[in-house]
Amino acid sequence: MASRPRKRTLGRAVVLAAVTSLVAAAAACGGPSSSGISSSGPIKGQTITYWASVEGTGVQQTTQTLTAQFAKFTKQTGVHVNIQVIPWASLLQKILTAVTSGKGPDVMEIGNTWAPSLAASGGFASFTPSTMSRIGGSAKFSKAALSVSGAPGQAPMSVPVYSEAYGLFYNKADFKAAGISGPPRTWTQFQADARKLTTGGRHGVAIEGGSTSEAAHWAFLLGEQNGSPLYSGGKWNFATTAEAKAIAPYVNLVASGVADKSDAEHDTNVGETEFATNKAAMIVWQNPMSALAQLGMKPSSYGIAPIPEATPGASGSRAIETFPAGINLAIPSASKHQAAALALVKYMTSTPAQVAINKTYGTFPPVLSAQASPQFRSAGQKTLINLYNHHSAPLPRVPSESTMETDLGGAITHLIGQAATGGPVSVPAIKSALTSAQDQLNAASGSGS
Amino acid sequence: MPYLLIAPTILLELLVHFLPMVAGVVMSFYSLTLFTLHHWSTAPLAGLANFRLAIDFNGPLGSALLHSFEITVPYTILVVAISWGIGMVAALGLTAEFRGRSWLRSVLLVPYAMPIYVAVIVWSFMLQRTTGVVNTFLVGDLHLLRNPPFWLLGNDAFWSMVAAAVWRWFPFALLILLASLQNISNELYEAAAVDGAGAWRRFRAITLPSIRGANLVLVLALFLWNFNDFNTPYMLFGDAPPSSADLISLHIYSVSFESWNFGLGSAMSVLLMIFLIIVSMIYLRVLRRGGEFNV
Repeated sequence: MASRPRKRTLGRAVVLAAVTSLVAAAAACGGPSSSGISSSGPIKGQTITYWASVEGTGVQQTTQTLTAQFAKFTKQTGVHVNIQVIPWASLLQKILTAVTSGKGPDVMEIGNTWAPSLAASGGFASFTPSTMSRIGGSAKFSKAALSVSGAPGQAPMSVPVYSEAYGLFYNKADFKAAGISGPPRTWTQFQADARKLTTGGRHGVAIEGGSTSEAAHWAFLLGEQNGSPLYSGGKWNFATTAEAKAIAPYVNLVASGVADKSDAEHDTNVGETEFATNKAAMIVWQNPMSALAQLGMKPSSYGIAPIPEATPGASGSRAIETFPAGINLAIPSASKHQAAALALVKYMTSTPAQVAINKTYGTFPPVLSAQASPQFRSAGQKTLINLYNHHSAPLPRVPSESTMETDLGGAITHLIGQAATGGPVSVPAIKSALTSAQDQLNAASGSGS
Repeated sequence: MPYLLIAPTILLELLVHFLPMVAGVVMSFYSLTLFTLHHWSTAPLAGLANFRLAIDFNGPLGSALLHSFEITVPYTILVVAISWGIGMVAALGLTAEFRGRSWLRSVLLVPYAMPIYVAVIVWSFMLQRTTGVVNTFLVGDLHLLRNPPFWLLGNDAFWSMVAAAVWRWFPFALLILLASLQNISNELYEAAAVDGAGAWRRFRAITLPSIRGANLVLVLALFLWNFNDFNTPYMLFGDAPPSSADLISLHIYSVSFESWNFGLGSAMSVLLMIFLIIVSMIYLRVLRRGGEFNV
């Protein structure tokens, strides 16, 4: 008997809480919609917030580099910039929270592979032609860099600011000692060279076997080179024997002994350390030059070459060597200081800032005038820039791309774990794992896109 | 008047606990995905579609959720049982007077006092195959194993996760049990000893019944916290844990944040919440039947 009134009270509380939450929801929505960037009023004296990803050698270098640049920007425009450096592990979550709440920074750095997904969210201002003209026009950017700035067929939701490309980094002295005349041009040669280089406690190659994004990138590159793209015909299409065969050599690098089995559990930049300390003779990496320098490795001691190909002398998509990797700048549509934010984007994509920042980070500029700077004309940098501009294809530009990196990348890292603990993984076993990942990806994203 | 006095507490409770729960339940009925995230208040109603996806155990998402559940159940049982066991043994040991007792008590509580992120990161360093202190000790120093095993990959990952969680939680069990043990009168033990009861008999007939109330709350709290454990697998394995360590909270997080499907993630969370409420209610009801425990 005594429980009845209590239940009624509880029921009222539920209704009250629900009503309150719905009222809060209604109050929170109604921010500006995705559109071009507003431009009105003076910006002098405004203070804007900038979310930076961790670049170069870490948080300290990122903070120092950007603080120095922002001081110049403030001198030029009178706009003050508060910088927050966000760790990679939480950057996407913070961005999503900012999109949902409408409360966040005025300018943010995003991984460029997230651009199609973030464009679909509708939470960012568009770089329409008129907006683009206010920062110098789209022609100032490399076409490859602009190809990963939003959803295909729509105005970009971001502009590129730092660029990276995959390359093969090899230890010149190790190659000479092993009697290898030059970097391998095919994956078959790569395996043979890696075996020769695996000696005396050193491995032929180091990988980040526990990194889901790294695994997804390898799957993309090997799939393209083998004529088995991850996404085709408007849907994800990697659960195939061809894709399984294409990535099998990568999955089994640890099982074949040319990579350290312990690489299977590495998901941070351990490979750079292994390469710099000569525990591995080769790495396939995106712009590790800055980190290698910090680890004490002289640029003259390693060579930079295109990654090997599946078919020698291939052309078209089979000759893909990298995807246009890097960081873009985006302005949330909820920003109340869009004109000041755009001024900062203009500054960050100006030639002097591009040269200074990309030089420090070990990346290269997506802005063509800065790419031509003598700072980026070393043989290695020229190789990477050439690959980026002329031998790259973007990762699938669909909203579920980031989910693909988690699902497919996760499946491959688990396979590498199996290879490390139980020996080589067969092509049917790989195909089975890819099928499971693709089913999950399609079910979670609600469609094949 | 009494309602007025507790009104601030109720208001805060509503804001901090109840409102997010209601919001989560509401979200589970909506198609809140990447495409509707920015204008989330106008997300289309999904009805029970998210729930159907989550419990379709023949489908890819439902079977993955079921697998995660099947990992989480033994993980929780093991962590609760071992933490309780170690906590009880340590509490019994610390009940006796001996030199250095307070120092030892403080040392044993350190894992619980330490921030969980720091604690689990230390475990992840210790369990690294090449550089971890565990393999250095087992392989390099003791020569017990020839090849260093992987503690963070394959099936061993499950046991690594259990070890880290037990290390974290047994001090809490120790703390609660020790406080309860100190309320038991020594006269009871002395009388039992005079009657010829051995140590095991005294433990079963005096110790366990005397601490029953605290013990049952302790087990329930440990169960709920560990079933919901996110920090341990996330800090040990990142966002793609090995299949053997795919605990349900991390699994739901992945669906929500990596697939950007917050409606589905919420539906899974609601199912988890319903399961835990049912288990807790059964647990409390069974105990009430025992007659000595009131919650």
